Amino acid sequence: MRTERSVGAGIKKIKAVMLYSFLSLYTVISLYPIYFAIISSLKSNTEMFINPFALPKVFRFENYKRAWEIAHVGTFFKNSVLITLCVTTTLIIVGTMASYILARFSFKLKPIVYMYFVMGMMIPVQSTIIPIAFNIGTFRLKDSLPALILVMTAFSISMTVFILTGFMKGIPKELEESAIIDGCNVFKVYWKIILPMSVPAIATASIFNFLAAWNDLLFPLIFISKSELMPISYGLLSFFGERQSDYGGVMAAIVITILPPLIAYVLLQEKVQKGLTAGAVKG
Amino acid sequence: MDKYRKSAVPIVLFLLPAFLIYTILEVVPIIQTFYFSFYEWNGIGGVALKFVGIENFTDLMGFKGFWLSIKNVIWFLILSLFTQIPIGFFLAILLSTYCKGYRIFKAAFFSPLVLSTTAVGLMWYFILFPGTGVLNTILTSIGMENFTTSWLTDKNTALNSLILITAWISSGYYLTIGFAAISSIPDEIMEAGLIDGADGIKKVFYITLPLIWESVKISVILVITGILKIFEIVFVMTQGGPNGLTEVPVSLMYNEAFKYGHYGRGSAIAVIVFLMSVFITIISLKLMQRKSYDE
Repeated sequence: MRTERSVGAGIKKIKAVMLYSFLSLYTVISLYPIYFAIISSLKSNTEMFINPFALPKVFRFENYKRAWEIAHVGTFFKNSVLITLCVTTTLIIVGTMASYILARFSFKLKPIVYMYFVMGMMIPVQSTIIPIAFNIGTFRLKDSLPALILVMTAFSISMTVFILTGFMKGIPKELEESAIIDGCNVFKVYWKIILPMSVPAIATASIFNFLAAWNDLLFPLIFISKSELMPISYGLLSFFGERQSDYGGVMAAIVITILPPLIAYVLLQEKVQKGLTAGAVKG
Repeated sequence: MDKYRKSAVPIVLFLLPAFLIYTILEVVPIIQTFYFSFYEWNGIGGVALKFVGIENFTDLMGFKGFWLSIKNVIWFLILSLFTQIPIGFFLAILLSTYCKGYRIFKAAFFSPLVLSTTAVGLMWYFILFPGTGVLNTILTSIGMENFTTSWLTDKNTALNSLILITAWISSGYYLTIGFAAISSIPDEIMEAGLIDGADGIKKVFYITLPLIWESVKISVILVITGILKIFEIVFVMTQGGPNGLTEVPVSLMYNEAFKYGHYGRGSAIAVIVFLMSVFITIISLKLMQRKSYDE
């Protein structure tokens, strides 16, 4: 009896060791490319491939300086901050306004309007870029950041409305209605009650929109030709195209590119996971 | 209250900005895509469009590159279905059932999804570097020198490399979906299963999987629609090469339009990609709706 129990405990222990070794192995696989980019960004070209796991012997921070200044990664970074900020803010404003109406008002066409907004989640961005490129040519919008920002905004409206409307439907009506009885007009109710109460959903949607805007490559590719206007994804690619042999510099640029999303992710893990999978779960 | 909720002015005023941006910049271009697919022209803006009827589509039917891209995307799709979903759901089951410190693992497995595809593509480009790249170095050091190759230009490994990298990126997504589904199973059901003698593998196949089958189905649809429009990883890492062996419909569309100036043909491919993803989404939504009526 006693031996049987200890055999059982032994098997349990072996199982646990196997489980955690497997999970640790997969963790290494998941994180290694990031680790590789970070250590390589501090190495010289010759050192990079000698031992792809070892820390650099000398930390070559000049790779970062070279990337940031000479390869204009600093400019790309600032452009991306500007673009991402504008897209995310515009989406919060127009998204919450439309969603408030769709969640709380009643009019005949409402179901159709809602369907019209969310059907955009089905539209593959990729199948619209030829006409968008055509329109850029026709209206002379090449290298126009405002136009790029508005187009990126347009393509995130469906998801934003989907997330926000679903959430706003669940806000208790009492607060809103007592404010209405007190004589607040629609702007005041929206500003003082709906917006503050929607913060969790706004955060979820904004994380999604921030990542989409920061990481986007396709729209910048067809909108931007001047290197001083490129956002970081595109800038990184053009840097790589021009200086393929500057491994350390390219690696530094990669690290700079992934840093803001990574920081956001480390700080807000669960929220980021929720934001990115929001479209997959029925609201 | 009724008056407030039906007042026309705020309804129109609040809906208008989102409506205009979305309509002009997203809905109109998708309609233009259809229109353009019946024309041919050779430059962006300020050039005459020439009506060619369905010629762009009939041309495509005889264009080998198009069929190669279809073949590639189907292979991409099949392998993705058999990597992303099994890996994701396997990890979800492991983490939710057996693992106390799941948070940290879940966070690590999900992390590739927050990174830009450009950055991910370049990181892997260096890992798969021909000759002295990381993977080749590892293979050599464990005595598997015969397996070293230039992964992204070797015709036997290029497409599969992209597929595995996509699986590396996306499996965490299906892990999260699976994990959420498993967490929503009531404890009583799991415990009842244990009393009935379902344990280990049996429990997974007879209790867990049937209960989360809806989320498996959603995941299958997401993989299909996601892979149909796969583009950036191809564009960053191989640009369709070697010899079109990693070309997928969207990268072909991009190259045809912006590299060779075949805008009409590109639009025809765009229409096909659009119709396929909408068709699959609608069919699958219908299937799921019917399921919930049955219940």
